[in-house]
Amino acid sequence: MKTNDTYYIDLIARYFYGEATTEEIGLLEAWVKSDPVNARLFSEYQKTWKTVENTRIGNSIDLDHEWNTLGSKLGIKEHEHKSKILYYSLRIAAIFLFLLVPAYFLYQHFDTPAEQQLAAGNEIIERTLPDGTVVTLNTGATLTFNPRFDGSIRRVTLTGEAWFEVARDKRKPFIIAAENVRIRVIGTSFFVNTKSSNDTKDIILSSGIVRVYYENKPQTMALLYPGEKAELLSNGYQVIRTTNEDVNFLSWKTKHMVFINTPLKEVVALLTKVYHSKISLSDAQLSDCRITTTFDGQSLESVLNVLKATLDLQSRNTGSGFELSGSVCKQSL
Amino acid sequence: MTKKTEKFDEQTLEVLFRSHFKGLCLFAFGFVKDGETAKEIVQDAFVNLWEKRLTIDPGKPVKSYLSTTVRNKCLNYLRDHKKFSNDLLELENLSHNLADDQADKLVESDLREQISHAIAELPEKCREIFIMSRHQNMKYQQIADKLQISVKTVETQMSKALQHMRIRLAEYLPVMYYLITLFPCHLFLFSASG
Repeated sequence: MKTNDTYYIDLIARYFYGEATTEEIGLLEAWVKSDPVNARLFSEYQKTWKTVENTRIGNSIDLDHEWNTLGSKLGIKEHEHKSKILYYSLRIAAIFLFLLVPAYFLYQHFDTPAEQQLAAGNEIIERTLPDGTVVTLNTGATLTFNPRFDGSIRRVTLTGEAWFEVARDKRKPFIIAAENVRIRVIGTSFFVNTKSSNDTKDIILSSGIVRVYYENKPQTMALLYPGEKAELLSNGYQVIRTTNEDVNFLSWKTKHMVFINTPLKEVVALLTKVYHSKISLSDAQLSDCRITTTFDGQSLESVLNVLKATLDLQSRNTGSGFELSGSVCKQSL
Repeated sequence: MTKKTEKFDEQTLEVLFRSHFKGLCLFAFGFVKDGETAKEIVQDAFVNLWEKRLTIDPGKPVKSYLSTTVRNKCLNYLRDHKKFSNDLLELENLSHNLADDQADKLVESDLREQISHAIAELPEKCREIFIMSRHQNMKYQQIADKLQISVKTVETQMSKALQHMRIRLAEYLPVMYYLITLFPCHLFLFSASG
């Protein structure tokens, strides 16, 4: 009897994780109908599964990206200035729409400056550019551009880290300049870091195709496809193209982090970056403790709570952040 | 009061999209059990809405229209892939209801922390397999190949993970609590197989 029930629970898991075959679904249905206790059990598993999955999925949906995708499918025209202002209003409450409408009329009557700059200070900022491209700047990053995007190309200059969702426009390629490196796209989503730790300019691509090259040596270039990473050396001309292994390259934006057998020192480094709080370890021995877990859009406090409970650590507020300490590294993790 | 003269333009679509997309994805996910498929179905529903924007009844809430479209597409998907079971969907509360704000609302931060704890409590290999499945969208076979273990092992570990979640999160899902005591399942967590 016990073996039988284990079989059906495994089957329930297969069903909810999308692995069940047609035959298995039939078996599960028969089992559920055979006894109300089975039916109740099935319901409980369903509620459990749905709750856990809702968290994960809710956080993994990037509305801007999805809206861009829909826009491409419908062939919706390029955004004009008007929709840019309405876009801001969507993020505030509807009542502010009335305040913004007069502002729109004002906007029309003044000349736009030759170059505009977006700068992210201590907060991440996200903006829609006049062509519909959505850019998210990490703290300290700046983006300079001509708001009219006149001419044959759309050009922006970047320092720091940013995530781009470039609006499709076959007539006008979108070009990002970072010192002497150029990234040329038509319509796509990707991440750029102009100041990586190995003194390279890094580009990680999520969708579409981009070309990366050096301004004064365009033949030294690479075509990037989704899931790939390009590193361009700052001194010299070399493009290194690899498969992107870093699942957390966008954690600063999404607050979604995945750790699989990751040493604690890396976890702590990522937390420091994502939460802008200096997280440190009291003991060098803790650096190599490994952890496998995920975090989904939680506060730093919540993340630290989980780490402390899992690895039996304590935390101390250092003023500029937190220090984690503990006696021994739990090998079982 | 219906606003019959209101124009359904791109801005209208965007407002509707930003309000309803996530909820509808969670709703679709309940049916098709796959995140990417759920998103595609909801995207198609919005394409359908846009194409029919001049013919839909402005008096009826758009959300019901979208819900119905999504539900029908999901049922078609399940039928096409021979994964349709009306009885199971009934138990999952999916055969009649449209997207329900209560059921599909995004999970509170307190519960999110509990979920994190619950995952962290899983035995190491079990946790690794669970994360590969849920966060890296890998199928059982792919996980088995990557970790050089049998599919059966992956299956058992995924099952154990779900069993642990059920016990661990029961008190945070109040409706379930009294049911747990009727049928203590945690005994299976300690069974040796896998």
